[in-house]
Amino acid sequence: MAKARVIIKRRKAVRNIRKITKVMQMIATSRYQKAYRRAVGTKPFVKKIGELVASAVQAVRGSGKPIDHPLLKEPAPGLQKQVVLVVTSNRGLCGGYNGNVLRLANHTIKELEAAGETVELHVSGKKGIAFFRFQHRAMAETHTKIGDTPKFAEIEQVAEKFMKSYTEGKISGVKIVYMRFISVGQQRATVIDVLPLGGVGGEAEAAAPVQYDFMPSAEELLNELIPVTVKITVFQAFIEAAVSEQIARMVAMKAATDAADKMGKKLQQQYNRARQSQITSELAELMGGVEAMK
Amino acid sequence: MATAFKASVITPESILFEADVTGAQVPAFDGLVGIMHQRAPLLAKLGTGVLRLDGAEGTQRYVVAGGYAQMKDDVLTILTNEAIPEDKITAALITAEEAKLETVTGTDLPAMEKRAAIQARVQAMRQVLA
Repeated sequence: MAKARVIIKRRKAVRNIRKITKVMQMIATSRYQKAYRRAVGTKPFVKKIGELVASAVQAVRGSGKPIDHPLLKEPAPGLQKQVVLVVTSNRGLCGGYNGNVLRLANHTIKELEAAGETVELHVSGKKGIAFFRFQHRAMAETHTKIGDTPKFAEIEQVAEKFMKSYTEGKISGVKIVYMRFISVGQQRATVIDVLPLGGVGGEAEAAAPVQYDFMPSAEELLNELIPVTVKITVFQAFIEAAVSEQIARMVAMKAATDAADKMGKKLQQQYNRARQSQITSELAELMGGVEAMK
Repeated sequence: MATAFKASVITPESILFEADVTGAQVPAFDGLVGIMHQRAPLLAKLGTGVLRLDGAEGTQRYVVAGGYAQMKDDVLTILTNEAIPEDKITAALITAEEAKLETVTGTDLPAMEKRAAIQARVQAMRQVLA
C-alpha cells in the first residue's frame, strides 16, 4: 500500500487538473453558444440567396436563354487536379474532432489519387497542418488565422481564389472536408463538393413565379449571384466547423472533469485506508514496545 | 399616416435590422431607389451608398457596400456583405478607411476598382456624418 503522503500528492494533482478541465469546459460552453448563434445567424442569408438565385434562374429560363456561367461549366477533359480543403482546429484537447476530420481527409485524398487525380492540399488549422507535415504531404496553402469566429471577408478571399483558379482552368474541382454540424448531439466529418457547381436554382419556386423588376437584367444578376453561392457554401463549412469544434471540446472536457472526480474519490478512499493502516501499525508497534518493557 | 411594411437587413453573419418601416431608400448600383408599401416585386443589385429606413421610431441609416435588395409580398430584404450602422460611423473610421486608400497602389484595373470602392465608402460615410 502506498504511503499516505504520496497519495495526498496525487490527489492534489488530480484536483488541480480537474479545476483546469472544468474551466476549459465552461469556456468551451460559452464559446459554443457564441458560435452557435453565428451558425444560426447565417441561415437567413443562405436561404434568401437561394431564393434570389431561384428567381433569377426562372426568369432567365423564361426568356429562353441558356444559363451560361464559367463556374457551371464542366472542367476541361484531361484536367485532373482537385483542391481538397481540410478544416481543422488550431487548438487540441477536443476529443476526436481533429482525428475524425483528418481520417476522412486522408481517405478522400487516397481515393482521389487512386482515381488518377492530382490533389492540391489546402489546410486550415494548426492541428491539420501538423498532421500533414508528419505525413510528409506537401500543402499548397495553409490558414491558421481563421480561428473560432470566421469572418465573411476572410473566407470570401479563400473562395475567390478557388473560383479564379477554376475559371482559369487550373483546377478541376474543389472539395471541403470539415466537421458538419447536424445538431448539438450529432456532428459528422463530411466531404462536400464546392466546385464544379452541379446546377443552380434546383429549388426554383414551383408555384406561380413572381414577376420581378430586375435591376440589372436577370442574367447579369444571376452571373453575380452564382459566385455568392460558392462563397456562402465555403463560409458555412467554416462556421459549422467552428461550432462542432466547441461542442467536441465541451464534451471532451466534461468527460475529463468526470474522470477526475472519480479518480479523486478513489484516491481519497485509498488515502483513508493508508492513514488508518499507518495508525494501526504505529499502535501495534507501541504496544509491542510496551510489552517488551515489561 | 403612411402604411408600414416589413424590412430587414441581413448580412452573412447576422440579421442587423428587422422591423416595420414606412419607407426606404435603397442605394442600387445605378442610383437611389425609393420604396414604399405595395411596391411591385423588385430584385436589384446594390452599389455603395447610404441605405435609409424610415420607421415609426425614426430613421435608421446604414452604409452598405454591394449586395442585393428584394421586394416581394410587401417585404423588403436587403442582403449585403457589410452594413455599417449610423452610430458606428465616426471620424476615426473614415480616417482609417482613407488610410487604406494609400495602401492600394498600382494602375491596373483591380487596383483602380478597389480604390474606387474605398472612395465610394468614404463618401457614403461622410454623407451620414454630415
